[in-house]
Amino acid sequence: MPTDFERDLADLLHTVTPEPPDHLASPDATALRQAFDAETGAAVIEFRARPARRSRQWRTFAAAAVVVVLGAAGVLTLTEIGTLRPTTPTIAGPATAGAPTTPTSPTVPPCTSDQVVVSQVVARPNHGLLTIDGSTATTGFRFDNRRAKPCALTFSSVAIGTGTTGGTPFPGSAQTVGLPGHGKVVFTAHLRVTGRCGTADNGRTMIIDRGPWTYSWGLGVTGCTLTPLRVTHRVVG
Amino acid sequence: MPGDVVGQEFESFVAANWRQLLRAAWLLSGNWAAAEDLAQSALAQVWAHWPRVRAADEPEAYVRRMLTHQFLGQQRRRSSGELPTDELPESRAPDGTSDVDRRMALTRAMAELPPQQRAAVVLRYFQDLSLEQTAVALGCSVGTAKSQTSRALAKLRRSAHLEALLQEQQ
Repeated sequence: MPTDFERDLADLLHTVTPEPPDHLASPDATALRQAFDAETGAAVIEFRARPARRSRQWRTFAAAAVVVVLGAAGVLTLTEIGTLRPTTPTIAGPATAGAPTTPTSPTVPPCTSDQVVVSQVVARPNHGLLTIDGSTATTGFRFDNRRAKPCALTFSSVAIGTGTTGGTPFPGSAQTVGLPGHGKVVFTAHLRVTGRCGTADNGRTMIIDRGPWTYSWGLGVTGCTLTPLRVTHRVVG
Repeated sequence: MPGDVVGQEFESFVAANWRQLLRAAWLLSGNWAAAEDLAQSALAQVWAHWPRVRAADEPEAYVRRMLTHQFLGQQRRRSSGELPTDELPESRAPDGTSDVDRRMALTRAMAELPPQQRAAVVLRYFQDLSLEQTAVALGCSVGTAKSQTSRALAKLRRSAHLEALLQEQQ
């Protein structure tokens, strides 16, 4: 026999629990089925040494990650170094200039700041997060979708600089990329190196401008000129 | 059974259960973004096992179990201690009577409960399940479901947020 408190509690839960807002009133069961049934796409060789640690700090972690070399020639080894949160408040607003180059479905909403986790990645570590090979260099980052709902990443620019904003943008980096539910997008930034790079605690910085949110981290090099060439990406569903 | 017919059957099932599933997920998580994610993840699991689910005596019980397990699993994995909310802070002092204030009070009262107790409360008093059904959804014994519910009620009796809501209700 329920007590008065239990009856009152049940009544409260039924009356105070709100109805879903309009944009959630109708489930997209078709998309849900398709997302579950969809193939994951081209295989990406990737090894995560340990689960990502989430942090409120936007500066990169000291090299605490373990690098694992898979051994086969030409195989890309990705190692998560740390995770970043956006540096600006999560006030919703339109993304700044940048024509989308990868159109997404008009029904895919933009990724919110608490929906994605950004991590730096490195291949065959050389200077901090930058891998130098003669006169070229690469560095990487990735966005993970924490939610089942797909979303769109719109970048105003991806740039190389010395601070936390601005910098010299990579050509064509203003774009929109679709991020599958619980999927990830791995980006590789390609640069030209001129001069001799020395190591530094932070040095030159990668700056990602994603509309209201920016992310930046030090690459650990100084003293050389890094010229942005292009940013490529792979979607892992 | 042709694939499109199976898919349509699943979509009908989702349409029939979505609203209640989403409201239960809101009670568990405290915000619509997380609730949507929870509900979709649960339904993805239902779709993965649809042949078995559709043949069951009570397919809704499977959905409830999936929702509860998704929620408890997420709570176990969470390490940052964050409790995100998609409700912006009110710019005025709450007067305790508006719907938003009442919902925020309920969210805060529920957030005071550990995840398993919170799930027990939602199952017993929002989804109106028996102790036996609650135990199935929680994946535990009836005795454990009973003790989780009792502890949750004891906490809620002491909750200032809930006390204010109950007084207003009377």
